Amino acid sequence: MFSRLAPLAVALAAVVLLGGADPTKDARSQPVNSKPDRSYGTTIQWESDLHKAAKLADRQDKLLMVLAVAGHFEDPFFT
Amino acid sequence: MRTQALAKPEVGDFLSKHYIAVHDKVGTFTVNVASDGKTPNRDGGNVAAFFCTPSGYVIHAVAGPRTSEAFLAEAKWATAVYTQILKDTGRNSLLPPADRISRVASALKQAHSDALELLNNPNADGPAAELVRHTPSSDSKLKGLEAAGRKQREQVHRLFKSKAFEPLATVGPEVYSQILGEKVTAEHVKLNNAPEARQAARPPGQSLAEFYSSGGSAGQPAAPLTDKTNSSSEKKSGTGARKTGKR
Repeated sequence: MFSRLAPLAVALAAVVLLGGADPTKDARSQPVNSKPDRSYGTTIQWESDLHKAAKLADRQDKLLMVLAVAGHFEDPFFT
Repeated sequence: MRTQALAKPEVGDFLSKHYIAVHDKVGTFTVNVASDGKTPNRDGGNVAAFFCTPSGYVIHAVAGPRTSEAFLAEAKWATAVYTQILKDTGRNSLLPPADRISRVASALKQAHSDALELLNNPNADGPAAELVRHTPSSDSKLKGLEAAGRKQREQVHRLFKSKAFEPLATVGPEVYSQILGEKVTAEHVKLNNAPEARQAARPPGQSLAEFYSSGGSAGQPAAPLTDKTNSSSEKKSGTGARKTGKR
């Protein structure tokens, strides 16, 4: 739910403006871990945990895209 | 969205380069199973993509489904505008964080206002104009989707003229409920006329698509006729279906 991201605004409030999330940097050179495929029929790898994704974005100097869906994204028949 | 915009390599390449993508269930929908007990028809539900900072401040939102061309243009617009604002406000400024956030928010609100003007005034010119008036899909079947997307984009720019760079927890529900007309809820997907007994007999790990394609029968003894839509097994495997290729 949207509200689950609320604490992030407090915990990471100044991060983005104090050195994080510069989308001009090419982060493709980051080491890639061998992870299971989480593309779910798209061309993107998805995280399922907002806090983990936020931390990952901060660490990799990227922005965050939150896809708000009505159903369960993992099942193509169900979203 | 899944089968359109998010399935295109150029969209994936751009998003993977600049974003960490995460999905979040914020709404619900209803599946009305036809009288044959097999054909699922979906009613309601929608999707919105929020481009945010890692701390959850919303830069831009794509409310509703889009063509890949429209989605990519909006993703690029959000990225380009935010990057420029960060450069303009100076990342190494000695301003207190609250002041810097305020400056970024003001600049972003102005960017949304400019984008709205670009959308509504064919003679207007401004930064990243080509990402506001993007080249539409050449597929004539997607004209309706392009038109609906343009209207929803306009609504988002209008909202973000005053609410850009607010926390997702604040502005997210507004986009989802006011622009998309959907309820923000943790409720599970509802099944109407669903053959609950068959649902309950669905083998673990079998997707609903597989379940219905095999005739809606798992070939196992039927479980008691109870509402299984809220069970933990349903949470795991999912219990819904689509009506259109909207997502």
